Amino acid sequence: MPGRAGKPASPTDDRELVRRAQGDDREAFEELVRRHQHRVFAVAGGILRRREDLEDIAQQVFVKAFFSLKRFDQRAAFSTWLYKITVNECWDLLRKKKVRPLLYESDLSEEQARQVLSSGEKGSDGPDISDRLAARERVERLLAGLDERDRLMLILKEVEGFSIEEIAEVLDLNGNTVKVRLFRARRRVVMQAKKSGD
Amino acid sequence: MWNLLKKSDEECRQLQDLLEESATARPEAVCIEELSGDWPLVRRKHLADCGSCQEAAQDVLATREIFQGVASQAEEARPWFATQVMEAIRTRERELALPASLWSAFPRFASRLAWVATAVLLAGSAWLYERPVATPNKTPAASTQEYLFEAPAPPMNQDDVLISMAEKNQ
Repeated sequence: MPGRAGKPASPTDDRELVRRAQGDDREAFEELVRRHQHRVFAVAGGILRRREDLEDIAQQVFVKAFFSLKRFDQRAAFSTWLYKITVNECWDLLRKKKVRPLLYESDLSEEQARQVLSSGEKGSDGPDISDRLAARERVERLLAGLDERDRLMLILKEVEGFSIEEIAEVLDLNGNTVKVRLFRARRRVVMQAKKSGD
Repeated sequence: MWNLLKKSDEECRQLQDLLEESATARPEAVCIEELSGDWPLVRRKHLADCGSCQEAAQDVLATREIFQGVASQAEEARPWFATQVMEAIRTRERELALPASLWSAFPRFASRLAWVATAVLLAGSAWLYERPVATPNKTPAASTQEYLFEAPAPPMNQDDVLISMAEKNQ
């Protein structure tokens, strides 16, 4: 399944852009933002789910990356570094706000719900708004009992199309650990679905 | 026995790796046979014999079905986002530059500030030195104070201190 969050940018090209951005080339940094914004939104969306928090956090992540870029030594890929900033920022926000990380239909106004799903509508012959909203709500309820990390793993894998290696990078885990945890998380979600009659 | 268990674990792990790869490679697969269609015979045999691997394969397919149609946060096009980020960076830079420019102005006024501070200090200490000192008045309460803090009368004999208040009252 091709990643809905887009293909990860080539690390080689990123290296050159990062090098230029470290030398105060604003256009190079803007290009990095364009390349990675979808995946940053995907990762943040796996943790937060509230749209109003999402854009703020994504912006905060890139601003933080910009001001820390001089200290980034390129030993890891830029994307890995950026995703780690994203995960940390999201968890910091959750700690600070002590907000419920899940989103239910009732949390969204009609207009917000329309915005969430508007992209899917464009030129797509998939399910309509209410179906997608219902699917999303059902999934969120099934994921409610999972550990935060397992929940993020499942969303990144099943919704955003991340590979096991990418998830391992984002969460700073070993690939085998991700696989094992994914299997366990799937089991729990399926059991929960059976229990709730979905 | 232990070796047999270990071998079985290893086979399950390998099959689950294969399952994960096949699930990614065949997003359209809806049944286990479609997922395992081109697997080596030994793996298919293991899948047929192993209950936990069958369960894992079914979970992969069931989860995929559950997540079908869920909107991704990354799908939405946000063409303005990069511009917005660059604007936020410029704003932050301006905010950071403001205190820095305040501090850079400080050395220019430092000598004048030192003179003003010296003058204020001199004037202040001269005023404090010249200020008339008020003589404290002796209050009438001072004599009663001594009485209030007078020590209580000593007990009549040494054993009095060992008698409790209840016994004393009797």
